Amino acid sequence: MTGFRLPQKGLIKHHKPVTFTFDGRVIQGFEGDVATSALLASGERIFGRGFKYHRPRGVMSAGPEEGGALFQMYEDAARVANVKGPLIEIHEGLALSGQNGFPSVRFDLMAVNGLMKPFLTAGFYYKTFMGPFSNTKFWMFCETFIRKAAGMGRATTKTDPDRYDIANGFCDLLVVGAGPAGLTAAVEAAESGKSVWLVEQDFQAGGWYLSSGDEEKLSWVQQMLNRFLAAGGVYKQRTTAFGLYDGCVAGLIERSTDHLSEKPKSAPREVFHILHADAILLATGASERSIAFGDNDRPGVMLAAAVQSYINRFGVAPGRRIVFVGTHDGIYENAISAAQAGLHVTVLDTRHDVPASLLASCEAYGISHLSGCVPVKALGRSGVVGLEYSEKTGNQVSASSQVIACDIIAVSGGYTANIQLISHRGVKPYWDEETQSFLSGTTKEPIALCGAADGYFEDDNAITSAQQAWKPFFVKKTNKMAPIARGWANPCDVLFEVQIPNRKLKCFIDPQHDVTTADIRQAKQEGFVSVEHMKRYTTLGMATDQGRNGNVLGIAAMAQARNISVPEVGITTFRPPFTPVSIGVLAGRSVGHHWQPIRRTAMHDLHVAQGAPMTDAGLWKRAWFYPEKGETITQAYIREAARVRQTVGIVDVSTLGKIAVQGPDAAAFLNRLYINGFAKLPVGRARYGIMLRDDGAVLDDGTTWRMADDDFFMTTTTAQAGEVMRFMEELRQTRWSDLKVHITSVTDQWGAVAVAGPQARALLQKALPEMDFSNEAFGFMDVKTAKIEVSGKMIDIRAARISFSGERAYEIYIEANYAQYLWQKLAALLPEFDGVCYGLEALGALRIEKGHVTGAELEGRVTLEDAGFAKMASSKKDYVGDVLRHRPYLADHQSRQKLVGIMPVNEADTFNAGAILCDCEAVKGFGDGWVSAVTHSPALGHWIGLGFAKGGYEAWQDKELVAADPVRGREVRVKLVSPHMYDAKGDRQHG
Amino acid sequence: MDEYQSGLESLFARRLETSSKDSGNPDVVISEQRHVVITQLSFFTSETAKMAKFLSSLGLSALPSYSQFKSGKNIAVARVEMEKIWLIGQLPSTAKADKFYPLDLSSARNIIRLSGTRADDVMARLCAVDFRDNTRNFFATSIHHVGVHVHKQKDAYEIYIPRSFGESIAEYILDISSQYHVQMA
Repeated sequence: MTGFRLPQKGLIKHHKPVTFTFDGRVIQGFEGDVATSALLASGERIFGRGFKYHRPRGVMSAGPEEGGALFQMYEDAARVANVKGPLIEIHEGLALSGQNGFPSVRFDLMAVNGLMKPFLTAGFYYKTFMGPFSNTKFWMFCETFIRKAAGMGRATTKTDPDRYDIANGFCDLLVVGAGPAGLTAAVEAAESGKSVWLVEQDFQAGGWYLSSGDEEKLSWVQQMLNRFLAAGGVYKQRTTAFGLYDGCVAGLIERSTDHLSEKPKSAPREVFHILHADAILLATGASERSIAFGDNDRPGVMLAAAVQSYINRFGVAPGRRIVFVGTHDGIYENAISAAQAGLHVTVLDTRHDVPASLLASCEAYGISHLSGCVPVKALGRSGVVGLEYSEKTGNQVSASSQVIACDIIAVSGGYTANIQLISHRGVKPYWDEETQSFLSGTTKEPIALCGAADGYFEDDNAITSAQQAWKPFFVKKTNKMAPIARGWANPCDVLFEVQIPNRKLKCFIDPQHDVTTADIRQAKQEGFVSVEHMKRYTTLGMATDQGRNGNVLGIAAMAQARNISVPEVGITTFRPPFTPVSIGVLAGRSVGHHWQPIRRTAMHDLHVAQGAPMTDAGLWKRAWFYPEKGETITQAYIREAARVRQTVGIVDVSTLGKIAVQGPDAAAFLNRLYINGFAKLPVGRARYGIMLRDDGAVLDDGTTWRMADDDFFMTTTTAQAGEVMRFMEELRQTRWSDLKVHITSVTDQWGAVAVAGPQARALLQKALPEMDFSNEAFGFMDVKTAKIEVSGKMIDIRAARISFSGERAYEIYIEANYAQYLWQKLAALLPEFDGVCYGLEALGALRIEKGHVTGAELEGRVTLEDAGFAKMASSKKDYVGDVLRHRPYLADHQSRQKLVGIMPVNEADTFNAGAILCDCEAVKGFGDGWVSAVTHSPALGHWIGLGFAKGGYEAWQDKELVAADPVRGREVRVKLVSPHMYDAKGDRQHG
Repeated sequence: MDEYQSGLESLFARRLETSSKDSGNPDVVISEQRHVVITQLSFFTSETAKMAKFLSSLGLSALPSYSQFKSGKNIAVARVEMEKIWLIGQLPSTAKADKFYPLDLSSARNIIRLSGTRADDVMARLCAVDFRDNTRNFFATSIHHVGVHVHKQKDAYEIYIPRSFGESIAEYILDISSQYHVQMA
């Protein structure tokens, strides 16, 4: 034996060395090693530090239940914290560091915390938060140090450089766990023609067989896997099922690249599989649990089966002299494996009556044996040097003790079935005396357990249970199944904690959170006796192992303290995730550029080419302004808006919602929806309409065009398009199903350009001679359609003379695939008319001057009266929102805030949107109104705004207000005017 | 000069220019179906027989069930809602479709065709649809929160994306596909 490596042992590739670093030191392992096996082989013993007391911690297990060997993996932005050593496959380039130790886990100055133990017991945080210093600056000062002193790994604060995927999958049967039971069920189901997914969190299938050291079993695993794949099964290794959800949906995390030295550039680090299965079989095995005895957290105290795993699977001897301490038959297989590896082995069985066959095995392998003894205390500080043990008579432990020299104490207090996943479905566990484990109840959902997860610890029984478990999902009539025995062949002992009268022992039950049995008793003493309260008060089971190490021990300690049974204490609720899940994988690809989908108009590229910065309008990107010669945004939009008033401008309005309303009852539908009448709107005309929500608040406004008797073209605001469409579908499908109407979103079908300004008519007439734009032929609110020839094809256009800017204006719609053609054609003519392209900012300036509302004003609380639309509401028909808009709460119009125009008293002053309008004598609180939008008005030559003020502008005539902006520390004197601040009579748009 | 500009025009032009020219069999091939004519026809349940008769006049054997796509000689039909179908292909000038409220949606959708040995894997990462279901071949689903239709074909998928989202969703698909050997065509 070289060092701790066992030559020729294990499943690792001894001929393929791999190097990695731990705290900067180069460590060598072999392909197939995990971090803990390679570190153990190199003689490392201290891998981490305790959460509170900073006691040294070694490796305790060989699986996801690991409580001591937690690492930070990778560096800088890619750093991942709290990664369990037994799950880290070593590879070239892997960089590990210990966590929660200063300056390092091997020499940690913070171990001084151990001296503070009397103050750091259960409830420390609660008591500290409630103490006299809580919520004081002193507390905040101390909090920084407390957080630094206690904790686990540190997450990076940098942007995650890795990629993640979310993928959907579908199958007939999901089998979780590729151990003997899982493999058996998966192969049988796949060979019977079912589509089966088999997922295994390890990087190798086989489960416990991998640690058996038995060539026959290993060969069986490979044969079964080959059969499964040949039958078309989907096998996902390195994949953890972390949660079960409604409808037989499982959340799976596949770790794709962590084990690779060369990580493919575009490959996801992890894939979150959302698997939809018809049935789920959980072959998740069982987790070994420890026994609570003195200083059982010392490096060198391990789980017994883990010792066998390191020997047989990874070819590593965790130590030279090993004492196996256990309560059941299972430890004998573990001990024999160690003896076969040439280690000095002692078995300490807590049972008095040990079957003769087991004793004979010990003798055959030269294993020393003690029965009826219990471990009392692990000796040593940075590593075990011996075990103090005592004899046990009944439940009484002798006060006198002996010591065995050893460097590893391999403990097994039994096994706890891994029933977490099925518990996610709300299935209540029950305590099974035979197996001394919580087992799962049954569920009506097609989910079942098999193997050790269902309490079948013997190999043959586990396989038989798997054969029986999957068939009822798919076979209607199955033969009566023979009963199978749970647990071990021989009865196990019941031992959770070793207690000696008049002697204090530090018995850890949750090594990750430094919870001891004394903490449990303290919780009981202080009244936290419910298992859920105990968990939260002591933090037992709240670390990354989610209680796999200590839950049962803690429950047993509470049962003893309360003098009740384990099932009477009960067990806490398991919730997803089963193991920690990266936040990144939950986001998948929806990060950065793909944080949310982007909507582009058909003319988007042309705006960008013209140098227009694009701004967000919901998901849309809209041209903000078109700067010339280094203009600022203010200079640009003032120029653009002024030019629209003077000559002509074109703006992309494709983002408006567009909905086709068709059918014999289309007019009736719209008539019920809008507050104003649409039943008699003539074909070829458009009408401005307003719709309310059921509660009487304004939902949206826009124009609707009648294209034919039974065909309407509705436009909505950009912001509310989706909501209006959803509301209309709801009305059609639920309330007004008697109406024969079809509703279709056609927003994407049409590109749209608004042409506004005194020269709009002339420009359009030149650009689109197919249409007559004369005032006589194309009056205000008229609608026209035409076909224009583009690239030899006849393309549909439709136009309406409507105005958002207050100018003579037209909206031209064209099939979106030809919208660039239209824009370019119009833009090419602009110089001839001294016109401009204008963006969203100028559009806003023009509409504020006119007092036209948008989403900034129609923000969900505004009524018709508030917005000044009440006169439009029909009194001759019903419409959505008509009843509730008259409710008393909304009827007090004088006290409600109404739409107003806002101007500064001093025309040189500016003010901000969001400012609160206050009486000059009372600049405080919520004020008497607010500013919804502001702009510099090119037409008026100073800043103006829209907003809402109590009683409307009429209530504030001859009075000044203050537009208070406490966030920016500004106060500006303003006066309120009619919201229609420019061309109130509308002469320009009708001209 | 063809003034037709699909919503994916510039993205495909950019990507085709910069994509690697390496040979070998790609895992995923992404292409755009351009100039596809889509006409939506709507009918009421009481007019189902009338619609079936109309489709028959176009050479289509029957009105497909919801989520089904059927191909005829020159035109195909997809049932997008219980009371709506899409005719894909140029309607003959003799077709009397006016009674079914025809809507031209040719500009409203961009169509991306996804094929190759890993196309299934890409689709699994795009939408939660069980494409093993042989009773359906035209699915209303969503990709990256955007409502789309997917036509599952023997060896490819055609994804109908609302035009305004076209480039964004295409970039998303390309991003996911980039882990495989992808070729744009």
